[in-house]
Amino acid sequence: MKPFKLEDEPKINPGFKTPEGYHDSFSSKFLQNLPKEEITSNVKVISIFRKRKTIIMAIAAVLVLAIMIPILYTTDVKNNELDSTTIENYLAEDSNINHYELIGEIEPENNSIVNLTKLEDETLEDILVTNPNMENLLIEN
Amino acid sequence: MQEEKEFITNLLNPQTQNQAFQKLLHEYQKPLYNHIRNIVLSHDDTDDVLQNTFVKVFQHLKNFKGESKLFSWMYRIATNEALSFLNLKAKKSGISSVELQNKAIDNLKADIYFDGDEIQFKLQKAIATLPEKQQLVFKMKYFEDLKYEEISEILGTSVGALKASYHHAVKKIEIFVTVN
Repeated sequence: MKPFKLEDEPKINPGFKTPEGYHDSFSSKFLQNLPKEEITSNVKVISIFRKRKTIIMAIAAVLVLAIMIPILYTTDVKNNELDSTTIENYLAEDSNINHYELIGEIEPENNSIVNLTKLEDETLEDILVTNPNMENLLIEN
Repeated sequence: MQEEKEFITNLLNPQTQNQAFQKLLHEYQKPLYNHIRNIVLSHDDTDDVLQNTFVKVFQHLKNFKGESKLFSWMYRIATNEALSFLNLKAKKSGISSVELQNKAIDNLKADIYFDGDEIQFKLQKAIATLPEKQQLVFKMKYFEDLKYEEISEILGTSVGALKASYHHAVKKIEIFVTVN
């Protein structure tokens, strides 16, 4: 079988026909049916990009928030650490506050030292004997 | 280009638009008819799509920015209208676009507005086996004698890609016609 080659063949047209007079009557028929005001009417055109702009802005806002969350969280943690350090330094260095004042600031129910009166005499003696800072405490007061 | 701008101005001016649109119809009616007919195949469908195309051109002329040529802009509208028409028709019939096209080719033999011989009919069958883009490129190049640069403007594809598409299409068609 001889292979078919498009280039070797004479030009093949599609073989379509149109009804007689179709092209002659088309324009007049079309113009008759065309609404006159369509070209000049000012129909409001909403740009597709306007809608996209809103979507892009919304996405940007969400992204900014998502990025800000870890930053804010980190800053917050740092602030807390700083506060604790400051308080510790303040308590350690400020000589105007003595141990009793400190104890007085601690809530009584959580503090076993405040409830000294309830301790047995023997227990109290044990605490006093085993406490290595007793001498310092006595000197301070 | 200046001439085209002036022509578009005339189309938009209520005093000159009737005459300008008649000129537009006169100039583009036949090439656009042939372009649409090559896609949808039947005359009646082509008539519908051609009317829709000119209505769209008429409606959107005021939005035409002149970034592309009027010629390629109108061809683009015609191509989109024809493809949308086929998709809608296939959807309404509950069949795929390929099935619809095969059905349309089978109907050609009984179509009074088709006087093709055996090789023309076989060529239509061969074209139907190609992917949509290759079909378009082949029809625009082979049947409509459009330049690659013009097809490129209409389809928004590079000239290199179009040449490759056309080459593949020709090869597939030659194999189909030889085998069948």
